[in-house]
Amino acid sequence: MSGYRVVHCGPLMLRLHKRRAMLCLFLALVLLMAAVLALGAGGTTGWSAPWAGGQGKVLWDLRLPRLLLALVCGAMLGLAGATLQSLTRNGLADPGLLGVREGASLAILVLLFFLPTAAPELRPLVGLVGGVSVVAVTVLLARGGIERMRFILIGIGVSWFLSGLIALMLVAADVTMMQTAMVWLAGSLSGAAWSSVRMAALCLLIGGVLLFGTARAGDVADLGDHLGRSLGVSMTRLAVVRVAAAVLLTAGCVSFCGRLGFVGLIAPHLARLSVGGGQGALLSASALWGAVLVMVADTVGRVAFAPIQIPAGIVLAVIGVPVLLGLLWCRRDRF
Amino acid sequence: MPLSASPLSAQALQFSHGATPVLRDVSLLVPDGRLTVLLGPNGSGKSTLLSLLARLAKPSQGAVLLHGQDIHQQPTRAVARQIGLLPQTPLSPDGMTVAEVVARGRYPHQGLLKRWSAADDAAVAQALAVTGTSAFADRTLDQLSGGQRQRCFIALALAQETPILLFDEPTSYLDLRYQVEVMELIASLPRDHGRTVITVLHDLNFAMQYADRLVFLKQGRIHSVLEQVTACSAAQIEEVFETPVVRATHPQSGLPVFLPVSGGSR
Repeated sequence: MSGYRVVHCGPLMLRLHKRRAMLCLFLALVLLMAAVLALGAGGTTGWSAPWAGGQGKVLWDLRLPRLLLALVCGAMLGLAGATLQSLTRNGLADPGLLGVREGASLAILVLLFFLPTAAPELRPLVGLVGGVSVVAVTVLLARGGIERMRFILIGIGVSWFLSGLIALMLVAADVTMMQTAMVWLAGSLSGAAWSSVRMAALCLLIGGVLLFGTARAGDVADLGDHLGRSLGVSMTRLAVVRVAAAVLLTAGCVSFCGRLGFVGLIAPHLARLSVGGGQGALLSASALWGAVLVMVADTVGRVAFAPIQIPAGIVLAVIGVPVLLGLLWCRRDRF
Repeated sequence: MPLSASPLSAQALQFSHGATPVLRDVSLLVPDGRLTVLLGPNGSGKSTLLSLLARLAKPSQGAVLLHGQDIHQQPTRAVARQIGLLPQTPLSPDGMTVAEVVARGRYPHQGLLKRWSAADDAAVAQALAVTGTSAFADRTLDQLSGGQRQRCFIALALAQETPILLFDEPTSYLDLRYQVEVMELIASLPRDHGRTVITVLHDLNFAMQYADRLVFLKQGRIHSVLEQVTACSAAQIEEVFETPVVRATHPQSGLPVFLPVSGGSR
């Protein structure tokens, strides 16, 4: 079969698609170079300086964790989006679809408002609980296959309902509280610290292992329910594992940097267009594209109008909306 | 027929959709190495029976036995190494080449570490060759005709290397030429490759020309089983399909052909 190379490594035997592997490697290199550039971007002049140690300390304590968090969160969103699009067999699905994002946001807002003294390390846990409980409600209401339109509609409905609750909380809150909440909700990485990088990386690791571990079964599941089952894939168990991974990734991401829209929607499409291939390639490329998008958005937001910082989520929305419209236009025969 | 000659059998199967019974007390022995065709009017339970045999659904009573053991007591993966399936409407994932889709048939033979082996390469090449799809192995599915695509999904089931193959209306939506192409391929599987094949067919005359054995279903029951296709009479077809037909003989094969009597619908 052309284009593949079989790789033996001890007991591990697999085959790689040469062109796709090279493309992913190339994407990773571009990402690395862009990351180095982003690390140097933006002078210290515009920064009010609460630190004393000079440029090295800026890099180590502020820019590096922020950059790493952008990369990790972008990869998380890319993976979650790719998974949800495959599961629902719908290219317009994204991590906001199942209400995970709103559920996690709402739970964290409640924490911010009612327990403002709580440790920030609690946020991801609370966000996770919020996200998981909303998905549980969506699944219960939808009763049935995740690829059905009913599921998507209920997810969208639940998301809107929760958005309403979030807006209500913001309106009722006092001004300083609202300011903090708004910046976080808009999808900002300005609060990045090493502790959040470590926790986000852990979420990414767990979600990534679950998704890459089930990638081959996912390939088989893409052939349809009946064929998947006759090839020996337990479809329900597979869907549960992959939904759980997507929820973990989304909720984790929301907890660290608020609602970053569009990444989860667009990264998988960019991956399909640039690399193509099965689940393994799709997941790898989506993670890389997600990381690129969030990092670029955060760097642009940080540098473009310095000293004013624009949250990455807003930069993404401004760039993301035209891209989405373009995507719909190009694929107008399919959606 | 002794049970040992029947790798797959149904024992007193009952199945219902909600309150509507679809299968009532269906027992069937599937003989080894032959082409069995399931026939019957719409809603007679053919596809349901096939999906129970393929372990896609669980009967409400009775059991499907694979090598004498309840199919639901056996691990999913072990069953997937014994039974292959061509469903009515498989999905073709975007941008996948024929070879990549066929390679997915190897899933039940692979493991966490052994993700690809020389045996996989050989099985895929063999499946492509048997189905005559090698020539477009590197094309994507959306570039193929309906018949070619159907042959690719048959190749996928062949790459699975299962002794038993189930096909659910493999010729529907195909033009005559592609119907013949697909049926010739399916008929060659028991004959040349020793596989046991069960297929649901809508076209009576295709069934007559290619089947080794006919199983008629009506209203969720097995109406009759014919070990010899030539034994099929017009009266039998009229009873199962509730429409008058005349029996003719195919001038070349000598097998029966049934033609509807115009204006004769009851």
